[in-house]
Amino acid sequence: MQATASGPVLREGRLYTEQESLAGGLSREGSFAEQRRPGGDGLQVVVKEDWVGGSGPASHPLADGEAEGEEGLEEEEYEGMYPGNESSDGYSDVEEGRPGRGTEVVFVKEGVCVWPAADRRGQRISGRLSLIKQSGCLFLCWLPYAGGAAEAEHGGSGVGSGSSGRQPGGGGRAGKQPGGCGRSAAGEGEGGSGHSLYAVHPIPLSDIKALRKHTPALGPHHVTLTLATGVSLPSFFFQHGGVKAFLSCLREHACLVRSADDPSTYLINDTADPLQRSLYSLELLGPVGRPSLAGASLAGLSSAGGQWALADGDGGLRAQLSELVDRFQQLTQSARNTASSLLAGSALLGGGGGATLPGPHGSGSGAPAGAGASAGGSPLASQQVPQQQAPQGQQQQGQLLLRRRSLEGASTGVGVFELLEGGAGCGGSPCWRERPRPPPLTLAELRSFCDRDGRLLNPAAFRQRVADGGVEPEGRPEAWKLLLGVNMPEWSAAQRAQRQEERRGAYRRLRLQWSNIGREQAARCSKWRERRSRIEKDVRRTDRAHRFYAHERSQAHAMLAHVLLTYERYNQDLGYVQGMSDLLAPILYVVASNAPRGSGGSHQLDAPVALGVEAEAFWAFEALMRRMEPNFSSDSRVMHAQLGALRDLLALLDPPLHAHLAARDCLSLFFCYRWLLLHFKREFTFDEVLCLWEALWAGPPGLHLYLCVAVLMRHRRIILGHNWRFDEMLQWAVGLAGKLRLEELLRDAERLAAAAGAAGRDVLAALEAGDGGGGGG
Amino acid sequence: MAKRQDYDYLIKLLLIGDSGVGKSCLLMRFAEDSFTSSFITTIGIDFKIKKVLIDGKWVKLQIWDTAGQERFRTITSAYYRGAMGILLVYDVTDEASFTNIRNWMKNIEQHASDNVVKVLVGNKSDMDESKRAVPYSRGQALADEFRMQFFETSAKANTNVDEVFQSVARDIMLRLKDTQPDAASSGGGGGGPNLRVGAARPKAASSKSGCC
Repeated sequence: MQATASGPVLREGRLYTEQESLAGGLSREGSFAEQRRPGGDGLQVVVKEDWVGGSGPASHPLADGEAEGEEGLEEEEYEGMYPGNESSDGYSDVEEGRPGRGTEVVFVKEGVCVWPAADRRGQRISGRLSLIKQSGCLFLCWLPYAGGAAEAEHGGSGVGSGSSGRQPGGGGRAGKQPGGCGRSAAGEGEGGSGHSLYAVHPIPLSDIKALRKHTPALGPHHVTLTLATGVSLPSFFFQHGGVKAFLSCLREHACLVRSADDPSTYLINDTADPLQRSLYSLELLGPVGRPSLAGASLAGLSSAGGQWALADGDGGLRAQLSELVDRFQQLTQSARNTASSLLAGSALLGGGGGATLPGPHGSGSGAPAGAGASAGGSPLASQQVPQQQAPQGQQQQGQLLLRRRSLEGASTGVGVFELLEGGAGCGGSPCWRERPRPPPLTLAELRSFCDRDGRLLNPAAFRQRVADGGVEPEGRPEAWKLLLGVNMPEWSAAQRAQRQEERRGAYRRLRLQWSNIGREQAARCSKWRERRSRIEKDVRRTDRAHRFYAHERSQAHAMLAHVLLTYERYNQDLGYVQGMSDLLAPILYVVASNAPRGSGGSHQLDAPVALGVEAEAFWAFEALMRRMEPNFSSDSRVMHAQLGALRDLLALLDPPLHAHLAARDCLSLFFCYRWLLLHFKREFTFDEVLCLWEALWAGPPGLHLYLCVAVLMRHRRIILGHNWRFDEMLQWAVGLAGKLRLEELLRDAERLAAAAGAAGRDVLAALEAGDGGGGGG
Repeated sequence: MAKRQDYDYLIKLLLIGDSGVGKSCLLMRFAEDSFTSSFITTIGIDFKIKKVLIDGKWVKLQIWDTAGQERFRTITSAYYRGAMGILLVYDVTDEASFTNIRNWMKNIEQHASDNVVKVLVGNKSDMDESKRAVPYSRGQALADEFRMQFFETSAKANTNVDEVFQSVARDIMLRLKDTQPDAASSGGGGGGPNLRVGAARPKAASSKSGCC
């Protein structure tokens, strides 16, 4: 078994290690998680199996009796009075618990403008430029003020952050852009829906190749950033100065190398990369082209970058620089034209007259350069405009050769997949390239995804952004309602408010159905009594380790019970099933965290507010239950179907592990039961679960199944190394609670979903066809 | 897998009973000597291990804790098969949980092996007498009817908890001695924890549990 395992393992290893590339190669022995850093594609180093043992309990769980059954929740501190504290304090607590902790804003400059029109006749858009550090990687982000210039004065509340550039095809996105229709460029404000087109959602610094500083004698200084893809961002005009501070902040975190030829141009390298740092410290020429570039960017560019890196300081360098800049300009121009034509199309489709979306401009000051680029909600979108993206996408598919071996014959449906090494010259594979996880979506950035009326402009980009970076606590109530489908993207803010009123009324009516059951009636309905008592029992033991639910007979407990009782009335066929309180608790917490606290310093919610919170939590829970309900059906058919699908995916993605489990009577996979039933609610801490669930809701269908596979594959060495029978497997699985590392597992799951490709989709489709969704999408 | 063993017997026990009767709390009290009234609900199945010295033998108890709600029975009943002893738990303040013991018995008949050792446990005996819904005598009568041992326990007050588990373990050891006389005799003179090498193990390992 072991011997046959090793071959495929290596190949699968590549799945996991692609991003580690050269940088990873330097410290291959290190744990996988630590090697999360930008770029690094191109060179593909197949790392040996070391990643497997990187997490989780390293020892045999049976080796010592202590390790078993620890619940992560218990480790949390038991403190604070219900409902915790002021909502703002609550957030900070939550943030500490989030997996993406370590988000730090290192630079903020208010009132930084872009000019939609090249000639600067139009209205400038004012916003906040920030540099955010997350997990050692620096991100640049510029978000326009939502409500116009006034916000500039007190706009410091929200930390700027936003979408990663990792968004699906720019074409579709641009096509959906209704923004800007029917509004004059000289209109009253900097608000307008057009402004959101220019938002620069967080870009990792590793994606920024060059910076050019403009210091005209008259007018504000500004900088133009050029991405590694050759696209330029709109120039940032520092209306109140601060270019110097910006540059010196950048210098702290990245290698800025001034061009000898053009002193206002710098090349940027993110020093988060240890390889870069060490090379830099050797005082070679400085901006060594990242190895990542060779694979990631367009061929011409990367070769230029490469030569740049190796050229010595004099004439050669100068020539390279001017060539590089020229190429950037050309590319920028072509990307701009492409995006502009797409935008023009969308304006026509949108039907609004007088569209004022930026058309093609001359390069001019560079101000509008990113117009097309950011049209899709992300400047990097143009990296993926269809013309460029399509062949890459195919290549990517091509890399993944899913070769099914005797599918009909093998009862387990074992397929063997093989990743063909994509050479460095294959044009790169952006989706495979490990990118730094962007900081969570803030409320401000969420709004930048919406038009002036509050309609979500591009649901797909929004979902991708959430899948990539998660959501800040302040943005969760709104974001979750969108993700769960309580609010529809096309609803304006006014419509949302109206629907919320309607939902509240509906909830109130449903709630009366049980609150009106008197003692007499209850005495005549044993089913009701039984369910009520079960709910009351379970509410008392739901997430008690979390401060929000720490105190018995608190308002939080009452609300939890009320919503569950109402749901019992609403869905009497299903009634109340254990586990539902686990599903509701995070939702109620998120909804309540944003509710205004009572007057007079009370932590309690006023009664009408509490009722409103219950109503919103109820409908969000109802939406979640629509996905999860099949899990709770009495015949467990769906749970079995899900376990079956998990089995198929495991056979597809890790045949040796599948075979190992099969040989030991463990293929029932019952030890994954709780993972599937509650989407890992019990395996992670409360705050991690918030991050996990939004990722599952925003991610591809069946991601929770891939997450199960990811957990097993992360521990495959432990599993393969033991001759565990079912009991021991279960004991091991139970003991994982609180010991799993969410972020890396989520990334694994996404990669596995991509790796499984069509065969994986077949498995999920079969599950879906059997009505076994169980929370799939 | 010739691993050194630090026990003489491996015994697998199962806790069943209605939700909220205190199965997990009994287990927590026994395995970790702690109690919290705000323990989480058990989803699917959970388990703990405790090693105890019974009659000079080291016994490793592997105790499986199941979800109480009927909805999960199709899953939990899969675990009956490998169980050597089953603790049927009810709540002395909850009449329904006591009546349901008969249903749980039916489950055992369906899914568990025939010679499984059963014990009836009335938990929460510390509760005020005014709250008691099932008098001791009724519990005893039911236990007699099914010919099993009966205990009233309190996980909270730590009454009778160790006794229940020890009693079941002892019964099972007796049966094992009957069926595996050599395993019983080769105790190594009252043995310390690390004296024995592989005895009861094959028995437990061969009782493939949980896979259906």
